[in-house]
This record gives sequence, C-alpha cells and structure tokens, in this order.
Amino acid sequence: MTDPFEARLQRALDHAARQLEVPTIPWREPARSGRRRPRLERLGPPAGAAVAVIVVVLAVAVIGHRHPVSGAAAPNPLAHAPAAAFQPPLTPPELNLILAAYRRVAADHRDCRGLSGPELTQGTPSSRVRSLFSTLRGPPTPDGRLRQVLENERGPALIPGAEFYVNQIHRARTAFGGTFYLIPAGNITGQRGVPARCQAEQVTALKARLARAKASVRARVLAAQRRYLAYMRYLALHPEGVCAAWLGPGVGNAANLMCGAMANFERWGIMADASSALNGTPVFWTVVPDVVSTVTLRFVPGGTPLRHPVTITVRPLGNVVVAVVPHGRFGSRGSWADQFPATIVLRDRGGQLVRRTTVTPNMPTLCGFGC
Amino acid sequence: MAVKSAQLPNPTEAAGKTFAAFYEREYDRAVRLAWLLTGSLAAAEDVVQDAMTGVYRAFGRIDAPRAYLHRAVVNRARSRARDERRQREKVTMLEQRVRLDPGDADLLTLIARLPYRQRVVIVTRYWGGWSEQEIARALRCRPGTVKSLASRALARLRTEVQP
Repeated sequence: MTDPFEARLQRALDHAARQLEVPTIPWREPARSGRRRPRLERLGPPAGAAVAVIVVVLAVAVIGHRHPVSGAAAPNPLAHAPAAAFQPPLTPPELNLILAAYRRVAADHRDCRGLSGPELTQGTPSSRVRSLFSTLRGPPTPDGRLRQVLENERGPALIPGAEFYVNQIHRARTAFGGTFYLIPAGNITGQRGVPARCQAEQVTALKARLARAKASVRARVLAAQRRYLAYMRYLALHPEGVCAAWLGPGVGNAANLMCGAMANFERWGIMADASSALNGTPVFWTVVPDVVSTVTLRFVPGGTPLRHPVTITVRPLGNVVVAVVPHGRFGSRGSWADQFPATIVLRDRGGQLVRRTTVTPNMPTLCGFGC
Repeated sequence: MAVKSAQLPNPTEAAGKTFAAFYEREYDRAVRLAWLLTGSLAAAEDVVQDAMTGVYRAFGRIDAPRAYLHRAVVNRARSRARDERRQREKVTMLEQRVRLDPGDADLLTLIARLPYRQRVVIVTRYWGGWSEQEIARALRCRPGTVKSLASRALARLRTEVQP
C-alpha cells in the first residue's frame, strides 16, 4: 500500500482495534434444535400461579416494571387459575391501609410477619424450573461481584425473606457492557406461611382503622384486603421462581435484579415486561423459557414520542431478551409508561405462536402499589 | 466384531469441541471487527454472540465457518447501526474505550460517520485485510460495487480529513 492516506487509515484502525480490551466470554452451548422442549401449553397443571414480579434496582438504577395483562391467542394453561394467583389491582390508599394493618399485627405477633427466612441459600432449583431454562442446566458460573451485591444488599433493601440459590448463579449473556445472570430462587417474594389467625388479626386491625369511614369506602377497602390476603396465601404456597440480574461493567455501576414466579412464565411466557436503563440506554429486557425463539415487540404512538408504530423482533440469548426501546426517551418524562410495548408476541423455532400479550394501560403495576 | 458404543466418537461432542476451538480462535477478532463497525463494545459483544450462535447451529453444514461468521457479524452489525441513537453515541464510545492520537480519533470519527456499507468496506479492507470478493460476499453485492463503495468512501474521507 503506497498511498500514505490509506496507510494512515490502516494504522489508525489497527491501533484502535489493538487497544480494545475484549472481555473473554467462554462459549456456552445453546439448546440443541433437535431436543424436544416443553411447550408452555404442555406444562403441568397451573400449580404455581402467583404473579409476583419484583423489580429491585440496586445502586443508581431506577425501579420500573409492570405486569402484562394477556389477551392470549394461544391456549392458556392458566386460563382457569384462581384469581388469587395474580396480583390484584389496588390503589395506593388501599394498599397503605392494608399494609398498615399488616404492620400493626406484625408488631404485636412476630410469627405473623411471614418474611423471615434465609435470603441466600445453597439450595437447587426444581426439575420443573431447570426443564424450562437451558441456561440453568449448565454448570453454575458464579460471579463474586454479583454475590457481593446480593449479600450486601440483602434485607429490607432487597427482598426480605426471599431465598436465592447463590450456588446456582448462571451467566446468561452480556449486553451493554454488563453481564446478565440467572439465579433460581426457592422463594422470590419473601412470603412464607403464617398462622391462620394472622390474617384474621389483619382484618380486625383494618376494620378498627376504618371504624369511622363511610360504609362504601369501608366495604371497598375490606374487599381489596380480601383479594390481597388471598394473593399472599397463594404466594406462600407457590414461592418458586427465577431471578435475573444485570451487573454493570465497573465497580459502583448499576445492577438490576428482577424476579418472576413460575406462573409468569406459564401464563405469559416471560418474566415481566420490565424496562430499565443499562449503561444509560433505555431497554426492554426480560427472561423467557427455551421454547421462545423470537420476541416481537410493538411500540405504538400515544403516550410515547413515536409518530408511527415500531415493531422490533429480537432473539433471546441465554434465555434473556434485550431490546433497545426505539424512542429512547428513558426517564425524560419521569415516567416509565412510554417505555412499554403495546404488544409482546412470543414465537417458537417453527414460527408458531407461543404467547401474544396485550399490555393495557390500566394494568396493575408496582407503582400502582404505592411507589 | 462388536464395537462398544462407548468407543465410537460422539459426533455431537466432536462437533462441539471443534466449534469451541473455533469460538476461542475467532471470538476476539470478531468482537474487534464488530466494534469497529458499531462503535460500541456492548453492541459488538451482542452481535458476535448472536453470530456465533448462528454459526454453531450451521457448523456441521458449512464449509467456511470463518467467512460465515464474518458475514453474520457484518449483517447483524448493520441492524445495530440502523439505530440512530447508537450512531450518535458511537463516536464518544470509540473514544472512551481506547486512547487515540487526536488525528486517529478524527479519522475514526469520520469512518464512523460513513454510510454503513462504505464503513464495512473501509474497516474490512484496511483492518481486516479482506479481499474484494470476500467483502462482496459479506455485503451481498458484486466486487465492482465494492470498488465503487471504497472509492467513494476514500474520496469522502480525504475531503473531510484536515491536511
């Protein structure tokens, strides 16, 4: 190459590429195409039907999640699941009153707290969980930094009483300079069985609190408490789930942790339609079982800066789906609402529909529960 | 003579080992290529992991896995490059990752601003050392088009680079 400009071009490219530090990522064999995977429709009866999704964002990241409400086009194995399996919609005042009653009873009766338990354990996930996620079937790939985050942040800042299998941390994939891990959990909510009298005590405490309220308000809040307590009972009976964590590239970087009960996967095929910011980029990320080969997200105008609908199709890697939100306006309105797709379509390798979820604006969200 | 099945090589395992070696050999360079094309290490890692998964699935059926990987990286990086937000961040990210002379940094900035196919031609030709035929296969065009793309890209770079 005699042209000095071309030589300079080559030198500049060489120099830049040589300086780049490429993190070593060992090869992990993906699920084999010939293997028969359990379709969601073929899963067993909907034993664990809790819709317990908790988004905990550590360090500097922000909280955000919402539950999808499905308009299932495919047969839904949880179509007849009890209503108690899913988080009931509650207004913030309702939730405050219900939680105040809980705190009142828990203060007087320690065994009514229902949140005690080991946060980090050496347990192993059930075969049901492992059969859904190929990432969890491989050898664990523990990360000291993640474990440190879990240990340091455990307690009320994380999910009190949740039970993470810390010897079963599996690296799933990298994205935006950070790494995603899957962590099976014996209990994702921290809810454990409490004596039957505890809930009766909570009802009594709430009734006392509402003694001077209007009859209509009293009836509405007590009905909300009944739904909430039924949901808590269901969580205590079906606590198993999977958590996913994203750990940023450097010390002090944000870490995201999101957990979903098995019911989430069985009903919707995903952990949750969670959105977050990874290394400053607004993304939609979630966890899907092996059966899901593509995830199509449709973002529409209305509540978003978009002028036209935008459809994105992404493939999961290591059971984790990551898609950049097209309008990229994370946090600009102080709201997560414009981050969410209008529909989420999951398909298998053959292109068959696994799940189609319509995300409705009035769905119950974590923020609807008091944040 | 009966042969114990355990003595026979397991074709899947053998293929897996070969692929693992291929992955180890090619991963680093593929990430650098994707990084030069996308400007983001995170995106580059995503692109290469995705491409590697594609190669893995086709590994037994393809004659030239390296070329297949290159094509997959170029094509997947193109999807990434369509994201305007990433395009805007590219220059900053390139500079954040490595220390460059000011002149080189300017040149890389200009390369990053080239239309995607021109950028591919410049990166693969001057950094990757690919032949015109290889670039043409990756871009699914004729070698003549590669020449034309290279010519236009060089002309643009020469014009924009400060003497």
